[in-house]
Amino acid sequence: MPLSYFTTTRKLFLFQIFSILGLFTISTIAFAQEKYTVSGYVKDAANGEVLIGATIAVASLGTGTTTNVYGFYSVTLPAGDYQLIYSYLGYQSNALAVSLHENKTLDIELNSADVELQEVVISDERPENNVQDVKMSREELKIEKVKSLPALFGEVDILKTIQLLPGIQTAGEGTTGLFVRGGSADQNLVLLDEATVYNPSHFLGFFSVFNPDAIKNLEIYKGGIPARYGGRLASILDIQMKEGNNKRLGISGGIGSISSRLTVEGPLKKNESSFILSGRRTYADLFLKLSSDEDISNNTLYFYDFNAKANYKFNDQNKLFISGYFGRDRFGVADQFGLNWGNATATVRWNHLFSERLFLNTSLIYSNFDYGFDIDTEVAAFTWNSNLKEYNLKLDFNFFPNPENTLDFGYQATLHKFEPAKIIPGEGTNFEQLLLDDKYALEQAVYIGNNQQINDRISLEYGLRYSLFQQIGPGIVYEYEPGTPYSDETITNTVEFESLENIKFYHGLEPRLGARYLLTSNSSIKASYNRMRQYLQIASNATAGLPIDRWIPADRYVKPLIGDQVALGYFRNLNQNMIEASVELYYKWMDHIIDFKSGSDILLNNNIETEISEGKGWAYGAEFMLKKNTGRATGWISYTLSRTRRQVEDINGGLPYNARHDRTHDLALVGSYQVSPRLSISGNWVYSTGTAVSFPAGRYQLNGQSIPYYDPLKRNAYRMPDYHRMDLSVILDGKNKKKKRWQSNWSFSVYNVYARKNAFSITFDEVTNNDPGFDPDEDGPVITKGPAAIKTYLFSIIPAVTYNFKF
Amino acid sequence: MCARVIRFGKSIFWLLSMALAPACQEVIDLALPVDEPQLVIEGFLTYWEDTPQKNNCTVIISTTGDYYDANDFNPVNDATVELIDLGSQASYTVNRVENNEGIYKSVTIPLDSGRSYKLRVDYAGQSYEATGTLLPVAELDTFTYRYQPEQGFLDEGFYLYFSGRTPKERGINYYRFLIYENDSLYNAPEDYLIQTDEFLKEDIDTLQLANYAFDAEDTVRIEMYSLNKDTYEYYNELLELLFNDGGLFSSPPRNPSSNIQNITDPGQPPLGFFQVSTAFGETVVIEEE
Repeated sequence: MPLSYFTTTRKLFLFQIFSILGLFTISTIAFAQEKYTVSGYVKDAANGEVLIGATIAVASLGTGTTTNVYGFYSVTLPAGDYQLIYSYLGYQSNALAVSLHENKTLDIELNSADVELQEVVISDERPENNVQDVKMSREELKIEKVKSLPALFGEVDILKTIQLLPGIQTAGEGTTGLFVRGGSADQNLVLLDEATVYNPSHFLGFFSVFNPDAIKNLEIYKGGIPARYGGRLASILDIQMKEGNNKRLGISGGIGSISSRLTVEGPLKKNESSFILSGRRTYADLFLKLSSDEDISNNTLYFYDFNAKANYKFNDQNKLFISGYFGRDRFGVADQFGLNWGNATATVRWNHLFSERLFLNTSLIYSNFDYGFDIDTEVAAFTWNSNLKEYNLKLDFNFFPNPENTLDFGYQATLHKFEPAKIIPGEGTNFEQLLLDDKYALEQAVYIGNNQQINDRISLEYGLRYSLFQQIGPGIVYEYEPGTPYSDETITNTVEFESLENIKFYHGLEPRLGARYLLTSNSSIKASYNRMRQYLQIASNATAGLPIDRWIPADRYVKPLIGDQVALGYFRNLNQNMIEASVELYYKWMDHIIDFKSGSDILLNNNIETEISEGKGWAYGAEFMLKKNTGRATGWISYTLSRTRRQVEDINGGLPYNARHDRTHDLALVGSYQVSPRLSISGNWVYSTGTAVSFPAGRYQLNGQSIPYYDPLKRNAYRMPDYHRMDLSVILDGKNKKKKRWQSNWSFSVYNVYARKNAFSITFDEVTNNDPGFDPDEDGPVITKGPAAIKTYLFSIIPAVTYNFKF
Repeated sequence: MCARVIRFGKSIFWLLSMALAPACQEVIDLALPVDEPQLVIEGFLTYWEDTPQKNNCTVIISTTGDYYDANDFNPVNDATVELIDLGSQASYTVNRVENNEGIYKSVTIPLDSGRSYKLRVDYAGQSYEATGTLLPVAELDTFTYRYQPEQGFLDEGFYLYFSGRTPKERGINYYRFLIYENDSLYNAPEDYLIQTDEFLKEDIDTLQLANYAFDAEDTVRIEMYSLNKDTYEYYNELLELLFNDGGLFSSPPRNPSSNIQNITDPGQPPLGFFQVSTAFGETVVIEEE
């Protein structure tokens, strides 16, 4: 049977409802003659980049709207004279008198507020988004802010910086993965120009794949997730690439301690269309080449990133964007061993304006993650490849009926292809090839959401998403003896499915709701609820990710993850909106989480169901944020108090236990100070409770070796030592004359200023002479030998220098 | 090979991260909990096809102790151990070896290839049982050695190769190898040579056995033991534990699941395993080519 009849009809049905709903609203409004629409784009005056989330306030009405991700806005008002105030954080506001007696297109350019000007510009016109916007549990970061903060090895890294925000944690420095409000690392959807990035890290997590020169904006949704997003439980990290300067050709770049960057951008058609090409490459391996030791100089070790984007404006109604990313890590030892992995994404987007009030973006997206080993030694010779592919179609409508309502609705379809592993032994070896079964899945969703202002005090953001997931053929399903645990021995039948045949179908509704109640002009309370369904996950028990992690789809035995979250927040601006303060409380339930019985069998196993135990998880916490965005001194204090628990059959005796990434306290202090127009200093200090971990409760002898004993009822019952660290940076601008095109700066950063030896891992082994590195063959006589706890730490103090330029 | 390749893969990542960040290690003071002593049973039933006089059943029984206690062997001397031939239902008592604390051994039990046996241990009012079958080992044609110059990770020296045939017609086979250099067993965690023939061809032609580089004139003894699947799985879990980093890149540490059951209280299985093996051994003296 091809695609399930049920699915298709259900999908069509819902889609029709949405279409009808859309048409209905359009037609009602079309007949209300006395209303007119002002619409257009809000852009940066310096380079023509559109500004995402810029506010357009209608002064006399106290209502307004914001620009969408393409910088587009639309406000429909009764005929009359209005003052529209365009504002965007870090930019000078622009107030415009508009006489509205016909539909108008107004493209607005805002000037960036330079530091010299800021002292003057700061006024009560600053947007009070923090308090007034219905959105909560969201954090936005400007790339300029990220660039000003200290960075490990001087490599500016957005994924590292967002870990300084409340509710977002890491498993340990130097590891991949974000842990958002108790979710695990595979529960974050990382989107780069809408394309899923499955492994956003280089060098196993020391650096992220996002070249800061190519990135414009990022926003992370920890809760209150709008209906247009789905597919992951914990968070959506939405990252947009720059579009490129459409005013003039520019070249910028940087030379750093471990990598260099170069970006070229410029207009394709002045003020309308532009392109950007940006590349980054590390050169650690070039230093290896200098080594006289052949063992070292023959090795390769590097990564690179390449981003490209172009947009073309056909006319006021049609605009095309093409963007792509390609990045790779390569590691090789002589000619014997090679390992490489990387992501590739491509996005084609077409913005179409049906009318001043109806905006459609259509996207076609491709995403691929793959890794490969190849080994050619006496011991073994084989190549090993794995691939994860995704093809996407998205139709996203924005409808702006009136200033009180902004509707989003659309349809999304994704075809997933999983190629877990193909291991092909070299010729003449004793091994047989291993080809794991490929799997296919089709994921679809329809959604509708509305952002509605009920009255001066109450604002709502609500929506509904209906997601459908099918594992489809070709594929093989194993059937097991009923009533027995799944194992190779209890397989009774092997069912083969034809191409496109439905193997397993899951579907469900995902309601989303957010509400804001304005207490005073500078304080509000907000609440939100969202349900998320996740149909793919990483099959791993480890906390930190590796490029070889295997993504698996929901299938007959692995159920989709379902997560529900409620959050409540109090938001308040102080000191004439100079300071934003917020407190958020959240509680989250996660169903069908899985744990794996044995690590070794997960990666290369066709019937992974024999290795799983199912359970549930929950997390709760309080997040405090105090933030100063303007003035010479800026920064924030973020503190999270949280708990993350799991309960899985067969683990910890079936009793609840801490998730490995559970941290009780997490504090970050981040500050920047503009000392003079040329000099700024920044610093951050982080403190967190150690993650939850299992420690041995004894020791025994087996096969003549010493083995640690773990209490099976004390999973993650202990704590790693507390973690804290301070980093500092200084940015010194060159004598950049306003009229000269060449602009430059030096960035000096010091990571882990007081060189704390933060524990990366603690392992248990026998140690000689109290020195884990002691080698009795070389280092002299053995004085003591005994069991010990060994701490591994990664980084001591690390200084770095980067030179940045642009012209 | 499979598990080994993955471990190899993971260790490569570890190596890579070490290359990136010159990690340092130090011993720390860390207070650890001390649990009640847990029973540990390490049982071997070994059938030597070519040298039946070496057949034996050896069971080492002990308990866990404080992790920081310098002594990690806490023998149990008052257990009752018996072995039952599941074919004939004949029962044989395995007595403690005099002056050898915690070790129970019998060399007189009649064993035969293909037969299944049950180990039963009674201790402190609880009964523990495990069963296993004497499965065949791979047929050996030759053990050979060959000189290899230094190459990447591998030192220069003589490497050992195996040629023969693994009985794939009876399903997947599991093996453990022990390698002795001049009578001393390679016995560190990285020396566990646990193999499956799942991804091996039936006819094995000069397969490198281990990454040991031997010197000329070394006397090398290789012993091959067939394993039951549950014992193979036990060893895999044991290796996962021995190479655990505390649950960061590896799974959270847990005790390997024993193939021995607690009959009296199934919720309290013992630590350890029962390994039932057919064994084969050969000694070579490496000569300069």
